[in-house]
Amino acid sequence: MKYLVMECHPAYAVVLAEDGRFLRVANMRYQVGQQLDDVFGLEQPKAATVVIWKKAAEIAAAAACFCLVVLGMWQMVLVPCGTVRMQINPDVAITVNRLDYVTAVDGLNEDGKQVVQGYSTAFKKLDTVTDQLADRAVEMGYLQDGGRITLTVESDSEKWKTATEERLLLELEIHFDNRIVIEVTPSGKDSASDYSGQEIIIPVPLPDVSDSGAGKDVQGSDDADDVFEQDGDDGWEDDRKADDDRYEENDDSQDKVGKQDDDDGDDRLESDKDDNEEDDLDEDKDDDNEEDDLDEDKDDDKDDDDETGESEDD
Amino acid sequence: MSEEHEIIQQVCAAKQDNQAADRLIEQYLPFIKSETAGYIKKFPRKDWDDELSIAMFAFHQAVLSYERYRGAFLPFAARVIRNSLIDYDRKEQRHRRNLSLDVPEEEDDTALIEKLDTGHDEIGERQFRTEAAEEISHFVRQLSEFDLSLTDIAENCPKQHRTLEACQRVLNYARAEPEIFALLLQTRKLPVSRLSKGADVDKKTLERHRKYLVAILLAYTNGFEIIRGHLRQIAPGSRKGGRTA
Repeated sequence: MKYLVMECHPAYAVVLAEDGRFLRVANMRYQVGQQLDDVFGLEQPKAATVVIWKKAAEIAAAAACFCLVVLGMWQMVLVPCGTVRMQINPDVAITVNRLDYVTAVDGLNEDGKQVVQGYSTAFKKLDTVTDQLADRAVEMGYLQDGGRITLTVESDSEKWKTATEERLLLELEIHFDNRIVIEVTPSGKDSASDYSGQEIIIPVPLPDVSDSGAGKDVQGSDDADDVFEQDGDDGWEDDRKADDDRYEENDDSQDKVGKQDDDDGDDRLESDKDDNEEDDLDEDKDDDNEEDDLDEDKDDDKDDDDETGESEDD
Repeated sequence: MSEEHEIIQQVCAAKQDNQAADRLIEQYLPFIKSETAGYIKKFPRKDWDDELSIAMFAFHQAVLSYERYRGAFLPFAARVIRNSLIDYDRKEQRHRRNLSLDVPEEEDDTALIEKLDTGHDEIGERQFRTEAAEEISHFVRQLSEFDLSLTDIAENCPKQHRTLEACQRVLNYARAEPEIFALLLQTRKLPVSRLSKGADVDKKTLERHRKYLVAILLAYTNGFEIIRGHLRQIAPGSRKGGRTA
């Protein structure tokens, strides 16, 4: 870029740049009409790319700050810190964030759904929500004096859990003036009920007379017992009775198989003995029946003897 | 206290009037020299040391940018001078290892440039400079008829590329419509509406840079071949801003 000196002052000179700009620059002993290759004190117009990059950097920084704020807010407000389960008869789960504000209430059974229906948790703290839900339960007739509220607090933070349990216990006791029994159960105790809505089907093959089939059958019944303990399904008992009936029909063969297994020293069956107490009981019954049979045989023998005695007497 | 008050009045006057600014700089030249000497660790010579020119330019910048709330003027000017000298020093650092053509050698006290054949046509350059000075003098006189000075135009010059491009579009449109130059010389007014419509530039942009546009359009009227030649070095169309008329 060349510059033409247009005017000289003691402190500065006015030059005309090739691109048509008139500029004020430091006067290094210039003369009017002189052509220059370089000048000092020139404020170069900023290149568009630099401006774009600066703008882009500013926007990116602002976006990053915004994201950080949103993430922070999301962590603080929306991410649940723990859950409080309130069981009256209505069963309600209350989800709480880090700020101790309630983010959601869910009815876990039909009554619970009725209690939380139309209830807004916006900007409400946990204490307020538990009090209000308990009041709603009273209004709807689910809770009366002398009733019981069971609280279960679940959280990854043990500290929060303990503090919340103590606080809610105190809060509800004060709220109901000890007219209601408040009970806190440790979390995890009732976890099996989480599976209440699920249906688990385990095929149980009919017991075979053969050795291997009997072994499989016994094992299948063990699994079924485990499921029964978790499931609490009443229908399972009927199935079990039907199985037991089948077992009774084939008790002779089972006894034989059981004896053979015992002789073979089958560890699996031995370990399952505790679980098959009822089967054992059935076996005991079978043994009793055998003894009865023996007694009857003895009686028959006695009768025979009496008859022979009579005949001898005769 | 009264001296401080007086200098502030002088500075305020210098901001409005270029002649007053020149007088103020001449008056405070010892102060500027002293500040320069404090930085370069030697007494500066007016016709020799570039640092003194830089310091005088910095003092002028300090006069233009001074506000009362910034405190006393002289400490403010001293800070501006020092910052400018640091900037200049940094800029010149890249040339420090090179030999200067202007510095006289110790043996015969003649500068290196005088011994070398630079290929420059010294006589031709001097003649060009004389002719250019005459033409510029005529240009300045023409501008004074519009109540304009080159310093005013330099202040009014577009700072951003986009505005400069808009002004160049106006110039290209005017070059395609020669009667606009005649109209400008005849009425001594810039036909803003016509230029705005013809060049598709916002009227506000033209109003904001009216002085600059008058000067650049005046340079394209008859009689300013050297200035036009200097501007023609960026041929229209060869750069972003230059559009063919």
